[in-house]
Amino acid sequence: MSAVDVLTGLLPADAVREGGTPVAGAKPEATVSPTSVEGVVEVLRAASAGDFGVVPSGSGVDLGPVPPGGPFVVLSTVGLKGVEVYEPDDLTMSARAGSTLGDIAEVADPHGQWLPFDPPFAPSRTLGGLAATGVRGPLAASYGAPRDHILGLTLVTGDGRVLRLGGRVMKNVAGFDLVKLAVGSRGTLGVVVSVNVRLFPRPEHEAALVLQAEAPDQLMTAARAVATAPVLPASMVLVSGPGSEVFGDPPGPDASVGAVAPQAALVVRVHGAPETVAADASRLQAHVGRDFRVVEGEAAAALFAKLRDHAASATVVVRVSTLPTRLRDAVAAANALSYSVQLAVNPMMGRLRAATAITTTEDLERLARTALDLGGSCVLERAPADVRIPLPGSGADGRVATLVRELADRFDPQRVLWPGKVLT
Amino acid sequence: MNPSLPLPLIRRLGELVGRDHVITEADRLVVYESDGLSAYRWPPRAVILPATTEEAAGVLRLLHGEGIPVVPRGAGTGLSGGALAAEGAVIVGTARMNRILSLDPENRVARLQPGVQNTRLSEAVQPYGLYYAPDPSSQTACTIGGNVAENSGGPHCLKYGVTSRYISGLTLALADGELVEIGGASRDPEAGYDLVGLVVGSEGCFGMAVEVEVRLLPLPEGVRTLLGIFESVADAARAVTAIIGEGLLPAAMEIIDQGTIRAVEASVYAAGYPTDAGAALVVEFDGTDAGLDADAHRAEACCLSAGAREVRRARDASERMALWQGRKKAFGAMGRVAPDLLVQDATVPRTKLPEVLERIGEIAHRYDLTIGNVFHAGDGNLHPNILFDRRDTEELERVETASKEIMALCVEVGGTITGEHGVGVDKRGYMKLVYGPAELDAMRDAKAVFDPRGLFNPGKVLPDVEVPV
Repeated sequence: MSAVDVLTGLLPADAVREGGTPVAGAKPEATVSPTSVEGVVEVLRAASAGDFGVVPSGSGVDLGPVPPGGPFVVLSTVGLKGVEVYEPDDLTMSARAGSTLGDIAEVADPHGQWLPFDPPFAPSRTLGGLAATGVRGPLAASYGAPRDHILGLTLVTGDGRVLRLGGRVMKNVAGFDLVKLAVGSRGTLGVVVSVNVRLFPRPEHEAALVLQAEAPDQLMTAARAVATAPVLPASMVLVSGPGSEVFGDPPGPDASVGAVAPQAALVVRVHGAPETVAADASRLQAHVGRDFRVVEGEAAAALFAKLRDHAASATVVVRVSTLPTRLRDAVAAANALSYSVQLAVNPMMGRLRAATAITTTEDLERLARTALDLGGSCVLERAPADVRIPLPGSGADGRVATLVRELADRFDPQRVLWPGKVLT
Repeated sequence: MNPSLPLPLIRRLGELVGRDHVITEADRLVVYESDGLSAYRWPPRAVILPATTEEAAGVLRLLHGEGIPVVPRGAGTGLSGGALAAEGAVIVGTARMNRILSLDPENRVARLQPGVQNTRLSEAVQPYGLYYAPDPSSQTACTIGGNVAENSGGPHCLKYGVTSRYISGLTLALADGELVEIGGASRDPEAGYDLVGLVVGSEGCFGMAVEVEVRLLPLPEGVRTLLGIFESVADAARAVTAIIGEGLLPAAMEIIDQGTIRAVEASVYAAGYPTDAGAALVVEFDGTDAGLDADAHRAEACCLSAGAREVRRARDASERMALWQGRKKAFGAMGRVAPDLLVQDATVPRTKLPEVLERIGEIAHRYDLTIGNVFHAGDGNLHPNILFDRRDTEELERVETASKEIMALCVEVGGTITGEHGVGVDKRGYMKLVYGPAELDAMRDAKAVFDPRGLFNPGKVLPDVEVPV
């Protein structure tokens, strides 16, 4: 029996369709969208018994770049939406995994609360996807990462066991922290079906402090100053390349001959009570020794949203991590990828994202080698099927690789999830 | 009395760490029989004190090869019996692994041995305008390695988070002595599994952290501390709800109840808290100085609207210490009122605190026990402390029954069995209140991956394994 036939017998007709959106270029045999945990269990058990793998998918924005290595179905969480419990006074919420961050913001906003997670395309990402990827946006520099605020989650393992991990309270050290193991495991240990998360009060006031320049390296000194300032801003991003114009218009006819439009911007986010924002802004200004342009209110909010998605959706997107002090070299190497590369640099967290339409495997290898030489790592987020970076010694090897493989096999003994997966 | 180690093994261990640091004499072992959970006395077979990563790995390899169980131990301040030597295990202590190995203020990370004591780390980085945020109450004694094992919290974790947020990497000595590097400040935390997150809080069951890489924060510019005096815990809890509802995020919010206040005021730690007050609430804000007065003012208004009879404000560092005194000395004071103190540790949803405290009061009344409550008001982590005398076996029975009822109550309202002290030996029996067989099996699986022979820190955390002592 084909995967479609097997699954059609198990789930309502409207929850199974043949084919579906390719995953990193590989076509699924079917796409299923169960609407209950039992439905998810059925799919996984059927996959264990049958001959197909399962790739869990939330918004689908972060599944690449390596395609599954065998016949597979996509298990979409689009049928698992809804906030189950929200206690504003407790600052905690339980929601089903298919709920988007935008859905959750709609529920939390009237109570003056939010989830301070700002990865690219945040509003359309799902809570389950946030848990599965553990993805960090710029706000993680001050608020922490999703793994720090996911209090519990329900995971259906590769062989269909339902595990209710963690709990619903902020302080919880009961047992081994399998929640932390699950967060960031990218669908290789199980399917996240619901998540308990901690929220934060929305800050009263916020401002963007902006510096512009022609090229990103001209802003790195200011970025280092902010990263080592006595004030801890909410976030800081340095962007460059097409789309990084912060204030829109290119130079007008009155601009002097040879004027170059700013192609890089450093944007520092500060928030809190109005007095705090004003004080932080002036302290940072004094510490950095440059005049920031200050943007407030809705214009600031729009700017943060734009920066959030910068350098995240070209044909090739690569992420480099290293120590913050070594970022300057990484920025230079990433800028060399092509003539029109977009960069989104996080100077507080020591990472950058580079996005470009055209580059060569050789140029990517050079970037990867630079990252390794800087003691860091280089991960391909998006790429065409024929572009890969061989990275000797950059993943885990030896005993750690063995531990990782054994952990995965305990949760997914038949290796149903993400067939052909590379774990390290 | 546990048999000591065979002489040839003692000799080989002595070659690794120096004979002086292989402790086998009964009188020198006494201090290692207990940890902060003083009701238990489990003499270890021996205690080994390595000084370096290589020595620690060598010791573990040797003992594992001989099939001897090992228990890693920091300062022994833990409150769940995590550092007790079950099954005649050998304790490997970190007392000599107390060096800060490197400090990188520009990148705000430091690398240190696990035996570095918590406040000493902050003191060492203070000249750079930095500090280490997690502040468990035992911080002047406990070690970073112990904090890693327990995923320790502390009053300021409400704003800043718990230990796991501040560990960027570890060198872990596995049960068989092999060393693995996990995480790392220059690595990508989203690549691969979060093994650091799994190991932090694993209570020394997955291996021994022999090097710890920590994240540091800039010292806050200013701090404002308030003490609200209330007629009842319910009023104080309402003030906390109002403060959160205002959108404020204090660095800490702590409540002590009347029983605790009375114990403190009757002791040498007397802090000037009124003994007829129902509850005292400490609220602290930190951050950029210019915004703090506004925050403190709003919090004060919340306290007064909730019925506070007075709100005291600290004007300087010594006044700040005075406002904290009652809370910080609560356990020490209670420890002087009665010969024994059972310190419980549960977490409940914050909104359930008034109901839970009322029901704990009812349990105390029903079992004729004195219970003083201290709790982290912002996150619902609750310490009901039962005063008793263990020589009175009838009273001891009442204490045990009452503590079981309290734990069941906390779970019933949606909470958990331990917020920061860990399961250790003490709470293994409660694990089934919060986890079913599938979850416990998954935890056993993870443990088995790291320690296939089950020789590392046996008898801790997981239930259903009887532990011969």
